[in-house]
This record gives sequence, structure tokens and C-alpha cells, in this order.
Amino acid sequence: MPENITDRHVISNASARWYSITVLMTFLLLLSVIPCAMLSLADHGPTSHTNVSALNIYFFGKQKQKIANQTQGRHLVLLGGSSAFYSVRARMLQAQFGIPVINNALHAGIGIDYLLYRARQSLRPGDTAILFMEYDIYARSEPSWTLADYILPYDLAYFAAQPLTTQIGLIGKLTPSEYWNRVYDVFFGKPIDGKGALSYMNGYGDVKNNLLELRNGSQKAKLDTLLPRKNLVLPLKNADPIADFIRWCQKNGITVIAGYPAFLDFPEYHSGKGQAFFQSLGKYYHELGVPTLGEPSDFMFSKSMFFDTEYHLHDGGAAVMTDLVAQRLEPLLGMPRRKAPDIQIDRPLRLMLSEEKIPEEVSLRGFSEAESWGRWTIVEKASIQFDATLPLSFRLDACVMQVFGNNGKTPTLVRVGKEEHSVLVSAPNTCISLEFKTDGKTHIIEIIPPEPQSPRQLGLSDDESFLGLGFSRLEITPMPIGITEKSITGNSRPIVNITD
Amino acid sequence: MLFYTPEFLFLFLPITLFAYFLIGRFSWKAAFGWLAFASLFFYGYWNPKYLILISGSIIFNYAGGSVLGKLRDRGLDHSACVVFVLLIIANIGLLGYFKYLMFFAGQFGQMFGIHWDVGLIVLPIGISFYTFTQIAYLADVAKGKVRERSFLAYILFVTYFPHLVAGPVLHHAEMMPQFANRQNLKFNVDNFALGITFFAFGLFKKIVLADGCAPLANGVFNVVSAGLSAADAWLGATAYTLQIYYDFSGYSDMAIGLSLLFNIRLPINFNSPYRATNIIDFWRRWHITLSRFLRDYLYIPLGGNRKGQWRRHVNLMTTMLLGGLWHGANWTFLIWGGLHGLYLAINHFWRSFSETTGIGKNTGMALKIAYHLLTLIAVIIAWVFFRAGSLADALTVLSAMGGLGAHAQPGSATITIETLAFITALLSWAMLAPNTNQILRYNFGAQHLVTEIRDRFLWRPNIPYAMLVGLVFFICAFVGVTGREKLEFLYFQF
Repeated sequence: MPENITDRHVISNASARWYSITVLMTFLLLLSVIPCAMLSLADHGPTSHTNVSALNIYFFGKQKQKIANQTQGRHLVLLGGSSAFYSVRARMLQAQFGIPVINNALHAGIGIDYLLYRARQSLRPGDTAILFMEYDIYARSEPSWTLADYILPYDLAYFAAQPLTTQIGLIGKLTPSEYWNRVYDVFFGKPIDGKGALSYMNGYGDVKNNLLELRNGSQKAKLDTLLPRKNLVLPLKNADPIADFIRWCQKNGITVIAGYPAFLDFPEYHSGKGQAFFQSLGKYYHELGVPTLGEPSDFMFSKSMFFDTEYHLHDGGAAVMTDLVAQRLEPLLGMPRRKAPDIQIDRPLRLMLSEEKIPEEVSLRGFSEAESWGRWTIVEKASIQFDATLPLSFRLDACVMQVFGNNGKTPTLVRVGKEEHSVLVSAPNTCISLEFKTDGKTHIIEIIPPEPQSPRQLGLSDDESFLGLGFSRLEITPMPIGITEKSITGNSRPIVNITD
Repeated sequence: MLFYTPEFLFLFLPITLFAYFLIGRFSWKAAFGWLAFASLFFYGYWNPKYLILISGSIIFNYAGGSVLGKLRDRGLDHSACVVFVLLIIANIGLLGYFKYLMFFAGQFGQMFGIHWDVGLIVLPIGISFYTFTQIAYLADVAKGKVRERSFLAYILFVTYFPHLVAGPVLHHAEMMPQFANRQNLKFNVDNFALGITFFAFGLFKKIVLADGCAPLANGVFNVVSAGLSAADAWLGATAYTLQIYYDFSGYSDMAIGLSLLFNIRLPINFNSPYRATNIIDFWRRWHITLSRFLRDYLYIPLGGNRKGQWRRHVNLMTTMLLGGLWHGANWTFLIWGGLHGLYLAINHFWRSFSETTGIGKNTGMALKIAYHLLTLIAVIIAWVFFRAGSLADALTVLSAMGGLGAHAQPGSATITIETLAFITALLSWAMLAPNTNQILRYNFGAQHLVTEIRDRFLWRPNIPYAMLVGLVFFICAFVGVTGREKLEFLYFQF
């Protein structure tokens, strides 16, 4: 027999014992760096390293919770992933039923269990929860990367509440560099305030940027390449969290209504395995004693109604979907609907850009923070977006307080839908007045200064924003169709081109 | 279950270890039974249906070994010989069915233009290792060297989880006395300290070094059809040379380390093979337990070097061809074995020539380095066949290495400073640094091979070393658990 190893090493039991303990302690100590970083980051909030999905879940989720906390009495709460976020309008439902409605939908990628975990935190006795769960949720069973990326570190309480195997699974979803970024962020990460993300959401929790005018080429291309989903087959996976949630709601005096997400229609979904899958959902909810808003096929739409994915309707599509939801809700809620609100701007609207807070139904893009006199345009194309559509005919009055660099030498373009005016604003303190006609579907006014430049380019300061014109005030005045007037005040001379 | 997965490290291993020593306090049989059960669970975790196969193989060989032993005891040598041959045929037949039937059916069909469909046969993990272990046992029984009377001990000998799926290939005689030693049923903190250190070394080799090389090797061998530059081909071949070494020697270190936790010593499998100065030396350092198996149970029975130079070369070539084929049913493995057979024949010829003429006998440092590099290049060239998906791919890579390749197309591998630095560092480490056995002064199974190194390089169970090993565990756990694709050990496929 070979000699004994321990004889060869001549080590004492004591040193071997301390050695083994130190190995273990060092390992555990180093391992604890990561949870410490997570705990620290949980307070820190998202940083420049945070992925877009986690960032949106963080800010949208927080804001939606805030909306839920602020509203009193009985709520109607819309639950689901981004399909409901994009495709159902809480604002319209509230106007029709006269009770507070919150769009509490977030992101299907975080999974059904976590979506419903969050929903429990915002629901109160007397509320009505309407489920619009994406179909993929029923075809997936394991925790996703999106969930791991978000809850590590922004919802450690949920992580801690999971069984050990799920926790290990979640830890394994992230790459070493993703963990490293988290540790790095504890010391060097720059917090993000979330204003950018929140500008895409209204005060009811509905998404605002699914306007067709805002859709870019790649979003359209993505939609054009979509094919029928093959993963939507029986048996239903992951349905247990829904049953648990329904039981929890029943116990807490919360009414549950099952809806279906907006979904791109394909013939394959109306026969064979596809049909069996969709039909089984209705049966599933029926067995749980939950009323439904109809059949999944009622909420399938043609491609022209969608914005970018098979679950995201554009603004017009969302209005159709919401109207259908309201129709089906009426008997279930036992509440008559009010007349649909006029969603076109029908009275004069004034925006004072020197004020920090702008009306909720308006979003500014490409404008600076408010200064005492107003706001700069800071990109090549600044825009003002309205929740409601612009009037069919209106006058835009704008007061320009500042003109940066060469922007007073050539005309600035102002565009509404297909109509475009070019205006020369040669000096500060100029008010211009332009008339527009629209197709009644346009939400956006675009301002395109001729030569945005940064103060840094001109050697004036370190500011890298591309300044164009500085506006103090914008006014929209609806006009009866057929009446036109052109006026100009101040010392600029407008050049009016109607390109269409 | 891989050795570095959380379920192994945080559940299977602690539970098995704790229960083994706990049960061992009361009954050695129960402790054996527990370890055998845990080993079968470990094996069945991949695919429970293969438990039937391994169980059948164990029962068959144990029964066969008993019959063989009894026939020998009664002096019925001729009958024993017949039984032994039948047992070997049965074992080779089992291996042949799972490993070679698809290949030979395909070749047969091509040769005679007929379609022989044998269906898809999935290779059960570890079948080559446990079959060879049992063949060695039967051969030892036939020679009267060993005899196992306890079925439980035999199960444990075959299934013992640290060596079950990728070796080392064990001799019954070196294992059973250890299992029989009741002292080994008591927790030994010295072996524990050494074991975790061995395991940490192996883990680092596998997860950080071998898996770090894998994308570089795959990035070349998976895009052969896109055309390779000479530099890319050399990079891919060298990366694979390092990947297979760090992967398999890492696995072997982990197996030794795990086994030490149970106070059982496994034989070493590697001894810095890329430091070899000739091919004979290389085969004394590479996959040592397979080499000794092939030597003891194939080369020597074939006649070894006892029947003249010419027969020695034929025996060597036969042994190496079969050694190549052991890795898998593919012409690439056969050529890899054949190349090494040829290298060995040339090496023996040169040695005889050198001894006769005195040429090249007294070598200076420069010539030693030249021998060293020549050996390494020969090994790298052979690895190209071993790694390539087909013979055509291997020839394309070799042509590119010889500067005859097509110009690289977009999408083919490219070399960066970082990859070059990584490969250089790993190659230098493999060629110049002391190996795990030397650092940890462990030479079980190959006492004459592991040379002493300077004291300052030796492992000591002190606090700084413990912190370093703790750090290594952390890095490996971090890399192993997180994002990167989980790569199985390369030798799991053989």
C-alpha cells in the first residue's frame, strides 16, 4: 500500500481543521458580497447599467402602486403584462363607468406568479380585478431572465419568499458580468430619475407612446414578420398561481373577471390544437367560477390594429379594444356606461413651458427642464404629444423667447400630421401663429429647428444639449372647419408652406 | 449531476458525506450500502433508465467473476479460460452495441451499398469506464490476483461516484483494501483539507480554464467550412489541446479530491503531459490509468516487446488503434490512435538508433527544447483529428495549419490580443508550472512518476493558502452557477 498522505504532509489535525474552516469562511464571506450589493442596490434604484425591462418595471410599477394608493374607494384594476398596458385604456374605462380605474399591467416577461404577487399588494376589499394574462404565460413554467434581472436586486423580499430551488434557478439566470455590474453600481452607478420612462405613461397607468405616428421602421418590420405561435398548445402550464390568486381574491372580498389579451389573429387559432388551447382557457376560468369577458377570439384583431408585437395594439386599436371591454363589463359590473368622452381637443389649451408641471394629458419630448422663462428644444426634432387627438382645424400660437446660434438664420419646421409649415424665427421674443388642418387622428406637434447646436460646440460651456429655440408658451385653439386666418406678431416673418 | 452544479455541491455531496460517516459509526456494511446507493442515485440522475443497464452489467460480471474464481480454485484452468473469454466477449459485445453498432452498420452499408438501419442508439454515460473497470477485474480474477466475495463491495467498487462516469480506470487491488479499512469510515480532517484543495484545483481547471478555451476551439472547428487562415487553425488546435487537458485533468483532480473526502485515494491520471520530451514520455503522463489498462490488458497480452522489434511496433499500433477506437466510433478517433501508434513506433526506432549510433544521445538544452516542441506539435496535430467533426474537417484544419488553407471568410474565427495572451498563459502553465500532484504531494498509483518540487511551491494547510482556495471556490461557484453555458466534461462522451 502507498504511504499515508497525511504522513507525507506532516500536518497536524489542528492546522487541517483551521485550514478547512478558513476555506469555508472565505468562500462564504466572498459569496456574501453579492447579496450585500443587492441589498445596497435595492435602495439605490436603477442606474445606467439597468436593463430597459427592469428599468420600466421599476418605474412603472412604482408609479402604478402610487396611483393605487392615492385613489379612494372601489377600484377597477387591470392586470396582466404589456398587452393590457398597451391595449386597454383605464382612462377611457374610468370615463365610462365613473369609478377609479387603474391600469396595473406591467410586463409578461416577469411571469404570472410575480405579476399576481404584485397585484395582491395593490388590491383592496371591494375592488374588481380584470385579468388580461398573455397566452405565453400559460406555456412557460420556469422563472425568466427578465424576472431575475428585476428582482435581483429590486424585489429581494419576493426572492427571499421563494423556495430554495427557485432561488438557485433565479441566481443562475444572470451572467457573471451582470452580477459584476450590480457590485460596480453600488459604488459608481449613476442613479436614473425615471422621468423619461414615466413620460410614456398617463395618470391612469396606460401607455402613451403607442401612436402610429411614433412607430419606427424596425417596429413595423417586427410586426410584419410575425407568424402564428406554435407554443400555444395544451396542456396549460403554470395555471396554479391563477387559481391561488382567485382563491385569495375570494377570501379578501375582491371580484375577479377574466379577460383575454389583445392578440394578432391567425386562421391557425380557430382550428385544431390552437383552438383547443384557447377554448381550454374559457373552461379553466369557468371551472374556477370566474366570469369572463367573452372568448379569446373576441379579442383577436387584424394586423392593422397593432403597434409592434402581436400583443400591443396601437392607440386606435386600444380604443376599439377598450370599448369592447367596456361593453362586456357593463352587465358584469351592473353599472350603466356613460356616453363615451370626446377624446378630441375641443377647447383652447395653453401650455406654460416655464412651469415645472405640465398637464397630465400632454407629454413633451426633446425639451429641456423648465427654466424661469420656458424650455429649450434640445434635440433635432422636439415634439408635444397629446393624449387626445388634435382638432380637425386649429391655430397654434407659440412664443419664442430664445434663439440659439444659427437657428435664427434659416426657417424652423413645424409639422402636424402631414401638414408642415416653415417659419423663420430670426430674433428672440417672437410670437408666431400657424394654422393646421388634421385628419382627426393626429396627436403630435413636431418642431424641427434648422441647426441645433450645443454650447460645447460653440465653446460657450460644457453643456452638450443641442439647443434650438426656447419657447415660453404654446396655445392650441380649435377652429371651425372652413375658417382660416394667418397672423404674425413680433418681429419675425413667417414663410408658410403647406406641403400636402 | 455535474461535480460543479449547485445540486451536487450543496445537496448531494454534503448529504452523502455526512450520512456516510454517521452510518459508518454503526455499521460498515450499511455505510458501504449507503455509498453505493448514493453512487447509483448520482448515476441515475442523468437518466434513470440506464440504471437497469449498469445494474445488469454489475450483476453479470460479479456472477461471472465468482464462477471464474471457483473454476480457478478447483484447478479447472481450461474451463476458466473459456468462461473468461465468454465474459470478455459479453462485455465487449455490450460496449460494441452501444458504441460501435451504428458506426459499423453505416460503414457496412456504404461498403456494400445496402441500407442497414439499426435505429438511433444513445450511448449511456460512463459505459466505457465501468465496462473497462470490470474487464480489468475479470482479468485479475482470471490471473488469480483478486477475488471479490462481497457483492456490496463489488457494487461500490464499480459505482463509486467520484470515478464512475469518467474514470480513472481502477484496479480492484488498489481500491478494495481501502474500502475494507475500517479506519477510513472515520472522518479525517487531514484528508478533508487535502480533498477540498484538490477539488478546488480541479474546479478551477475545468470551469475557468477549460471552459474558457472551449469557445476558442469551437469558434474554429465549427466554422471549418467558412475557410480558415493558418493563424486561426493553429489557434483552434492549440485551444482544443489546452481545453481537453484542463478539462480532463480538472475532472481527475476533482475526482481525487472528492474521493479523499471519503478517505479513499484514487490513482492519478495526469502528470503534466505537455511537459513530455517525447511521445513515450507523453503516454506515461496522459490518461495514466487508461494507458496502464491498455498496457496491462492489451499490449502485454499481445506479446508486448517480448517478440522482437517488429512485433513490438505491430503490438503498439494495435493497442493505440484500439485505444483510439475506445474513445468513439469514428474514423477520426481511429486516426488519432493510429497517429500516436506511428509516433510511438518512430520514437522507439529513434531510441534504438540513438543507442546504437550515439547520435542524439547527449542532448544540450537547445535540443531538449526542440524535442519538447516537436512532441507538443505532434500531439496538437493528433488532437485535430480527435476534435474535428469529420475526416474532411480535420484535413481542412491541418491544411490551414500548414499554410494551405483558404483565406478566412467573414464569420470565421479571428485572433485578438486577449485570446493570444490567454492561450499563451495556459500553454506556459501547462508546460512549465508544477502540476497539482506535485504541489499537493500526491502520487497514488504512480509513485515513480511524480517528481519532487521545491519546497516553496508546495501546498501547506495555512491560512493564506486557505483564503486562496476559498477565493478559487468563490470564482468557480460564481462562473459555474451563472450565465455561461454549462459544459459537460469532455470525457463524459466517451
